[in-house]
Parts: sequence; C-alpha cells; structure tokens
Amino acid sequence: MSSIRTRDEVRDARLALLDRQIVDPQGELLGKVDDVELDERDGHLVLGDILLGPGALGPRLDRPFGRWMVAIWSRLSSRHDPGRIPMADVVAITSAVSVDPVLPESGTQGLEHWMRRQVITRLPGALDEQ
Amino acid sequence: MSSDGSRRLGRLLGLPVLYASGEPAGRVSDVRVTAAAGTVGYAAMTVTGLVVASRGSGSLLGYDRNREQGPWLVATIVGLLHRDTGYVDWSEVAHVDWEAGVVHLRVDRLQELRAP
Repeated sequence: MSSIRTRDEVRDARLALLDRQIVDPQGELLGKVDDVELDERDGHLVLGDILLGPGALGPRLDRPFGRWMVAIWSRLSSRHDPGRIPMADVVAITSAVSVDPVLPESGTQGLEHWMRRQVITRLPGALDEQ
Repeated sequence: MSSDGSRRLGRLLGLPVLYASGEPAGRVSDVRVTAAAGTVGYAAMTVTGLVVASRGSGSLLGYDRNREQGPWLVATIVGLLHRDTGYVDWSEVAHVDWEAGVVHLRVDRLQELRAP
C-alpha cells in the first residue's frame, strides 16, 4: 500500500501524532495516540510504538490526576504497560493515524468496563426498562 | 543521550533546554522527526531536531511553524507570541538528561524555526 519515498518526509511529532485518532482500514476507531515511545538505535532516537490508553495518557497529565488515572487503570486492568501499536503498522498520517488491520493490544478496556458497569449503567435512562 | 532502552515523547516535551553556556533557551515545544527518502512506512522515523519555545507560548495549532499561513492578524499575533521560538538540530543536542529532565545543547543560539 505504501510506496517508496522519493524525498524526506518531515513531521513535528507532537503536532502530527499526539492526541490524533487511530483508525483501521474499515474506519473503526481504535483509540487516540496518547504517547509515543522513543527508542534509541545506533545513537539516534527513533519513534517506537504508539502508546494508548490511560497508562500512556496519565503521565502526560498533571501529577496528582495523572497518577490517579494510571493507578486506577492499572488496578482495574491488571496491567502495568499501556496498549501499543508499532509505528511499522502505521500506513498514513493525516488528520488521523491510519494503521494496518491489526488489533491493538488495548489497555483501555479495564477502566472502560468499570466505568460502564459502575457509573454509566447506573445513570437514569442508561438501561432500557422493558 | 540516555543509556537505557526507551523513553516517551510526552516526557521529552516541556523539558527545559539549556544553551552550552548554561543559559536557558526555553522548553521543548515539539520534536521534529524524519522518514528518509528511499524508505517505506513509518518504522524508522528518526528524531532530527527540537522546536524550542519560551515557556507557556504553546503550539498554537501549527501556526507557529508557518507564519505565512492564515489571516495576517493571526500571523501577527502568533509572531509576537513566538518571537523567542526557534529550532535546534539534533546534532546540536549534546545530552538529554532524562533523570534530571533537562536538554543540554552544544550551541548558544537557536536557528530560525521553519515549517517541516
């Protein structure tokens, strides 16, 4: 799908990647780019995996709230590492980040499930009452 | 550079940047990355420079990268807010002290910031 570049492609990583929507080829929304790992290779820093979920977003937020987010997420999902998508799976960077049809190992579900179960479904009108 | 495995973009953003003289240059506002000609995909996006801005000037949705775009009023305001914003090539970065959270430069001035 991708072709060989004929010239350098230069991006500002914060502007082009952070907080962008991640979509698969069917248009399914996989999450947001909450952070990007920086790997050291041969003395250079290279973009590694895209990180997503509260485990990646938390450290970017103000300290008390960010730590609380990571702690809750880690407790509910029994994980200590955020979900990740290798940059090698990225096929296009536009207003969204398009990835190959690989399902990310999402780290968001524990918190989402807890929120749905404990908060959302208890709101008036959340459930259809037959 | 740091000696252990991997770091995060979010950690690098906002770090204070110091000139070779020890004087403050600003903070890391963005990280410029490049996929070289002849490559395919995004597996080897290499960090090639840093956008350094004075504290609190923010990113302003990219208007700070290309001051000729958009209405002149926006360009003027952004130009004023970002008059201290500049660029430093990665080869001019002496050391990133991840533990202390400081970027040390080999140089004593920033380059003019241009759109990527």
